[in-house]
Amino acid sequence: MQAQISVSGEINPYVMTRTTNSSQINLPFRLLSLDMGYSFEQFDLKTNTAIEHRIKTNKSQYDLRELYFAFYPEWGEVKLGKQIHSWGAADAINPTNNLNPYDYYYMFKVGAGTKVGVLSLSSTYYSDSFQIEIIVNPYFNKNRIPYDEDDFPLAPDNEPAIRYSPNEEVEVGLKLQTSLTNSDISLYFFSGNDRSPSLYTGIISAESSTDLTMDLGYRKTTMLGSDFVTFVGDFTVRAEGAIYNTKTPSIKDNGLENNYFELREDVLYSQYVLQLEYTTQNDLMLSGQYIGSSIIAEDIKWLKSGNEISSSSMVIPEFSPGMGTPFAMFSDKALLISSSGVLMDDQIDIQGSVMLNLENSGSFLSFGVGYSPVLNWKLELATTQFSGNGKLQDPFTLMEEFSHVRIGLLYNF
Amino acid sequence: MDKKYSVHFRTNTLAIFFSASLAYGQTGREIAIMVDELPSPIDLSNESTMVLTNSKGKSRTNKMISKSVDGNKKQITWFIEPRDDRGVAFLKIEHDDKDDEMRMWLPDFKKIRRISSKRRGDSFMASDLSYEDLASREIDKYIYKRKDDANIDGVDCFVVEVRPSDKVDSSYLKHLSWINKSTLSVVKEESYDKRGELLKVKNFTHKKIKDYYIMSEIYVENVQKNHSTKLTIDKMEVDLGVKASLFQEKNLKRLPR
Amino acid sequence: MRLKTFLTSFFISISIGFAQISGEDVIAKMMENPSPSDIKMNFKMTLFSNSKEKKNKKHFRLMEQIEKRYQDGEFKSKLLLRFIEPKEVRGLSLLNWSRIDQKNDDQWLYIPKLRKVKRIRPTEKSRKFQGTEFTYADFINRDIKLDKYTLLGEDVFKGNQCFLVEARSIKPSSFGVRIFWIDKTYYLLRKIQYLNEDQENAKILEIFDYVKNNQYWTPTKKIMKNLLNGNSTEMKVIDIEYDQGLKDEFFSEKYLRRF
Repeated sequence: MQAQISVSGEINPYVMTRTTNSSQINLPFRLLSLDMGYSFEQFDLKTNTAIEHRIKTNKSQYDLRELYFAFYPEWGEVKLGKQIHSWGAADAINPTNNLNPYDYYYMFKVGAGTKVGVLSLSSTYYSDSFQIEIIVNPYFNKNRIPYDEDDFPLAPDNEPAIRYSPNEEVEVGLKLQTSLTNSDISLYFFSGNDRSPSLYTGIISAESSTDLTMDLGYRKTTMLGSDFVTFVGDFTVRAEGAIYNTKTPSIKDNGLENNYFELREDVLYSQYVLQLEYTTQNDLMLSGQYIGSSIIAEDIKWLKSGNEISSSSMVIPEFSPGMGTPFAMFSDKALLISSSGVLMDDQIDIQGSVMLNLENSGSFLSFGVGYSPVLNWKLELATTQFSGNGKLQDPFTLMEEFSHVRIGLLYNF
Repeated sequence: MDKKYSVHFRTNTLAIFFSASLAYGQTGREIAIMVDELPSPIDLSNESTMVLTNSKGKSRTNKMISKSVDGNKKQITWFIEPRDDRGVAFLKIEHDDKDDEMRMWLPDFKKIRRISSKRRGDSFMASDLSYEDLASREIDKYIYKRKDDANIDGVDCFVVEVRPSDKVDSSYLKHLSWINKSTLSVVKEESYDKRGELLKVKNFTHKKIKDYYIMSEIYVENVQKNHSTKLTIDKMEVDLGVKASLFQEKNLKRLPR
Repeated sequence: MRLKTFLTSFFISISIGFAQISGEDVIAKMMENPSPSDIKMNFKMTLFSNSKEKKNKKHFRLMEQIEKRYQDGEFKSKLLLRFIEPKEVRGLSLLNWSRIDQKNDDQWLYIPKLRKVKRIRPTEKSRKFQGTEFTYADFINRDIKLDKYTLLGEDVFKGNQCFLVEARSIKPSSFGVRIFWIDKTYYLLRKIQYLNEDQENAKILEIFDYVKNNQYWTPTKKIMKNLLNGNSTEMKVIDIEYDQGLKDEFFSEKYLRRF
């Protein structure tokens, strides 16, 4: 049996220019993505690396996104190493896909590009009628958040110092998939930690009543999810949903100062997507998604020395989820309509999408064209426009200054 | 019964040499049945190249590796070229009692995506071949009429007019098929659109492998769009003992050994 | 006491009748009213919408505000405003530093949901604050030296005899022209009319229900009316405290993030 080596990748430089004032948006992008694989018998060694570049500073950074072994026995597959998993039947918006943290720098990309690889062991068993996958992440990994990025309006400033790291780092995921008549249905379970930090304690210094420190940590979250794919006439229906239970673990820190207040959150919330898809005669794919999230139940209180204190002295902060799709920060109810197609023998590809905020007025529109005059080379032209309701706390309004035009070149090898 | 699909071709075989008795009195339908009943390989493995040429003479190339069993009831295809499609793979499993299953592995998403098996008229990989062109035709859903025999490039052929009945959702009004009398392989087909205008001219080349006659090349010309597709099977192997277990989702993620 | 005040006002009125009082004088007298060194208050905001879909729809907001006034230094005053209710906006806070000169005032908005402090840019100051008819600029405590004042005449507003003073920005600014109604008795600001670039009336601020706490006059009700769309926002004080000795640190970005 011969070993096989495979190498493929892409080089994709591009420039983003603001529509408001033609200034350049300076955010990092993946200049080079490289996939390499070495296959021997039932084993694969796979790696995915990227070179991330920032035009303004002319600095590049090497990122080993994935490096793992895959073993393919008769009964299924086993993968060990730094890798990216993808759960969820819906397109782009996946509430169940929480095994890997998100890289918010790439939140508007689609696919595995939005995710950060983590050290993980995954094992899948396939039978004729079902498949079952179990995943274990031994270490905790957090979202990559663009702190202090002036060019990314939603970016929080100043990376906060995290006082509390997760008590239990090990995370476990379980997926069960089966087919019923013409539908595929899956069930998911995940137990892990939030990928974004949240408030744990507030400490008021004994000396100065204005000297207030807010300590952050990562809550423990358990998720139960489900998805299905089914066909109704010429339409494809994909749906995905998850329920999360998030809890602030009690603090095992005996060295807490006087005058500290502990925030205990116990919240049950959900995120879901319902998608309807149709492909026309000309191979134009249209899809409409209804995206929602809601808090089902919440119990949030401040404790001092273990006793609940009344909220008049300590304001109960609004709950912010630490897991789930990044788009939940935009709206609790939104409609996303997308389309994609090819023209001229695959030489031209077009994509467009519109997201409408159903809660308040707000939307974003994205449209792109790719032209490939020569094999493996493509010229890309795209624009994204945000429009909000005028209030500066509304994410769509904050993102208005991110509206831009993008020009890029893509070479595949 | 649902429409059957194949990503590549219905293979034709020849195990029997028909005697001259064929020449007399066979109706169009009977000829069609003979073609249909030719034995097909147990399994088929091939590597193929598809070249699309437009009216300006510009062409694009796709390369794929395919395996199938059970007369295309189960089929798996890996795309090799162009480079941005490389790694994409496609699994089809036909069922009698329910919808066919079609799944795609998309490396950029690291996901297996189940897609609809109902495609009408749309072209396979932007080529001049539609899914309907590639699908096998169920005998009972078409009406056959034998026409005068003809000779193409020195080959004696039956000529049969094939009309889809209303049991079939077809984008064609009719086809005219030229069938090699000795091998029973279809060598040429003209397909007419719903207005009765000639839309596509298909030319087939067959190769004999073991006891089967298998399509080794298809050349389709869309005369209305002035566009052509040439699908060449570069490498073909039959009855290798391809395991049924190959036709599983997990195998979409890596090329076959 | 009453007689003395009456006589004083009478004399003042008479003296006004003879001397030519200027716009500057009226403003100066208004500034003479004692002003606390700091204020802490809770108030309720009611948003009235005139639009067809939301006809007669009201939205309520409960807010707390602290303000510190400076006698010297580079700041005139600092203000921290925080939403308490409803839940959707709880914790949303605005920090405002008003400077003594024309330099752009500093304003920050804290968005708890995104855990983000956003600096309000000069171009954003004309945006309405959280759906109210108050803009971010309205929270700025503008230094009186920046405007030129002209006495236009007199008018009666809600039973009060008032001076009409026009305030016009000396240097070009987004503040434009405002007309103040300052009552002749106590020299309290009763009404402001804001004119837009085309010298049309854009909005009106009406100030009611002045209450005297110790030595300080406190307006307990303000209504900002948008004359172009018919919407209005009412601010009603629930409780107020003065001279608490509020520390400077309360008006910092760090405190802005406080839950």
